[in-house]
Amino acid sequence: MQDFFISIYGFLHGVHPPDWDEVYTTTGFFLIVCSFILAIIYYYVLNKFFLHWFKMKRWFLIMLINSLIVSLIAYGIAISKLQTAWLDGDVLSFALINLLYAAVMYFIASCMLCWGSPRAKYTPLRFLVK
Amino acid sequence: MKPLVLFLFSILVMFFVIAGCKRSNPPAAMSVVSLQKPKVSVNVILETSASMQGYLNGSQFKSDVTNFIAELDKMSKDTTGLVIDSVKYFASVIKNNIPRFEPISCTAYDFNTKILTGKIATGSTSPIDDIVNKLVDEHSQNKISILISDFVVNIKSPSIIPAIQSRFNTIFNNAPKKNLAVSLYRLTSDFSGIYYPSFGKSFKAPNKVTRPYFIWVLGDKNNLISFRRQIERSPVFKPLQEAQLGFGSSKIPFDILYYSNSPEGRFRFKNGEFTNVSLKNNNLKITLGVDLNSIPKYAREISYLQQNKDASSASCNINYCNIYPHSVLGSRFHPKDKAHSHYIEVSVSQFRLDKNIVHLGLKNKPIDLDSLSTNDDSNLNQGNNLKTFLLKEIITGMQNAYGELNSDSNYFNFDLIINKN
Repeated sequence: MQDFFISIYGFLHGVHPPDWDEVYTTTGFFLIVCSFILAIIYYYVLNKFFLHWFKMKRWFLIMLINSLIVSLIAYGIAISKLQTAWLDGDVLSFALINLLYAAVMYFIASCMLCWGSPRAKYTPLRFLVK
Repeated sequence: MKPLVLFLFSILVMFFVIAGCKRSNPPAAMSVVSLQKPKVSVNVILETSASMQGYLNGSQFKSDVTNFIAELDKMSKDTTGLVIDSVKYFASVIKNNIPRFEPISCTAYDFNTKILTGKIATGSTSPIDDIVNKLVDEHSQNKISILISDFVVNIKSPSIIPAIQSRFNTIFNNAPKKNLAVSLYRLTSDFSGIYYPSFGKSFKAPNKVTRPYFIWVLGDKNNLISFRRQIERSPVFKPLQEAQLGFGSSKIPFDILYYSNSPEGRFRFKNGEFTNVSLKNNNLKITLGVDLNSIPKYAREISYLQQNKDASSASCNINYCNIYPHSVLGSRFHPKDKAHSHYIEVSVSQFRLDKNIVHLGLKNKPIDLDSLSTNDDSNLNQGNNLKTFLLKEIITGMQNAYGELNSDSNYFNFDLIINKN
């Protein structure tokens, strides 16, 4: 699993010292867990209690929140583990990469979880069923 | 939008919790155990054959030798490097055809005074091979011997020339077992007086003709590395050439530079091996940091490094390999990487095996023996004055004994293991 996360992050983040291995692994696990938790909350909590949350703009809003959470947590993990400066270029680029990867992960989680949702069964794949 | 507020609040809480969890560095351990460095005694031996009088009449010899002795004296008072317990000064004399070392001074000041005033008795011939043999025989781990001599071997007939190589080979035959190494420094001086060729009649040398002489430092390999590091820092001791024998080849540790010098391609370095390699433009460029302070100063110069770098691989192509001192890398060095004395930049491509080995090293090439050695010292004309009689035979014999004559003799070696996947 560690190799998987290192190769996924290495694809966009380039070559980095082994100090980053733990950062990649921890952040990678957090990224998956956070994306699934937010997808569960969106499909099975928000869409149960609120009427209009099935809409795409609400789905995108949660996706944005997920990306921001993961990105900020990734930034925090990197700073905490590597003891670098707050505005280190490598850490900032790592946070931005997580912004993108979290969006992708949230989309994957959505595809997997949307079928059991009370109101958002076809979000975000509504265009497929039309 | 209450749920949104809740999410944003949880983001902030999680961020501050994680960012606040900085690892605290453990306090530096208070070491109460001081590592005691071994103390060494240094014996300085001035060879006093008749031909040495010409150097004692010369100003450069006096200046260089006294500077060297002053530097040695300074080293003996400095406890940060090699700990020198005592320095004793001797003259080599021959009694009943046996070389003996007789004390001539107790202090550096006294020895230098004698050198500067030329008040050192010279006479008869000195069998340099016997003197070196005695030094090698009397070698002990905590002893460094420094021999100052013109190193003109005395032989009775030209037919004996081929035997000199084997003579020095025999003398140094057990040296590797004893961990005995030799640093050989070549200097020159103006020479005024009678020159005694190895065979043939002595003659008056042209006034102030330039002649080479040598300072040989013999001692335990590790002690000599420390000694060499300290003497190299001297601003006044500047030998023209040097040869380092018996230091062998060492495997040196290296660090990878991840941020400096624009690495090309992607890789992971784990357990001493490169894995997950992907090439960029069919090329993998890696820069390694190495500390080369244990090799001689002349071998650390960029011209020597470029000429004598050794990079080879049986299973992949080496596009180029460069070794730079830290100063040359300049702005290409990123402060996030660990600084080293030197950097090795290597570019490889076309991996033919799953596991590819790239061998990197630096060849140990001593002085150019052909241009500094002669088999006929009966005259000092046409550049012959700058050559030393049978120097090539002497050093080749020693190289043979140390097994350093072949091309595999390197100052350092290490292998990069690059896994294709």
